[in-house]
Amino acid sequence: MKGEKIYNRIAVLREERGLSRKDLADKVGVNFQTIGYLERGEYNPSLDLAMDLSVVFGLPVELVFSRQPMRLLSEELANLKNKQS
Amino acid sequence: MIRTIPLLHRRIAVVAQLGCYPVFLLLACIFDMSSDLTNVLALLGVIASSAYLYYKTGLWQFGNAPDEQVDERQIQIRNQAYRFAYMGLSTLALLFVIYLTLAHDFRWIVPTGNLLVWSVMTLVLVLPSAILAWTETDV
Repeated sequence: MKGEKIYNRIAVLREERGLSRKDLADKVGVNFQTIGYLERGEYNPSLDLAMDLSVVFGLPVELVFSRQPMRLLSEELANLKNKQS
Repeated sequence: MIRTIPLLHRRIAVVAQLGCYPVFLLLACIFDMSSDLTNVLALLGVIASSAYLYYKTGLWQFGNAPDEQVDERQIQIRNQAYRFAYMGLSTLALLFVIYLTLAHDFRWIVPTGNLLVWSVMTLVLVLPSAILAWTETDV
C-alpha cells in the first residue's frame, strides 16, 4: 500500500550530530541503506521507526517528519517557542 | 565488509544468471549440441554470475533471511519481490503448458532433459533475490 509522501529532516539532523548512515542505522536497528531511502524520501517509515528516530535526535516526531515539505528548523523552533509563550 | 555493485552490472549478472540454462537449452535443441557440454557451460555461467551477484553483497540474505534479520523496508520490498516471483513463475508455467500443447500439433521442438530441469530449478531458487538485485537502487 502506497501512502502519501512523508517529508523528513533526517539527513540534516544526522549531519548536524556527526553521525554516519551506518551509525544512525545501528542506533535504530535498520540496514544503513534504509536510512538512505528515508533521507531521499523514497520510503515512509513505520510509526515505530519514526518514533525511534525522533528519540535518537531528541526531538518531537513532528519536527523530524511532516506531511508538508519541511521548513527551516530555526523557523519551526521559533514557532514552537511562540506557541509556548 | 559489504561489497556494492552498480545497478547496471547487477542487472547484467541477473540476465546472465537467469539466462544461462535457457540459452544453452535453446542451443542444445537447435544445434543438437552435446548435453554434457551444454550442462557444464550453463552451470559455470550460473555459478560465476551468482558468485559475482551474491558474494558479500547481502543480496542473497536480503532475499532469503528470516524476517528478524532484515528491517521493515527490506521486508516490504522482499514481499513485493516474492509476489513478482510468484506471478512470473505462474505466467511462465502457463506459457510453457500452452507451448507444449501447441508444439504437439505443430511439431515444434519440445525441450526436455537436465537443462530444462535446471532452468526451472535456477529460476525457482534465485528469482526473489534476482528481482531484488534488479530493483534495488544504488545508495
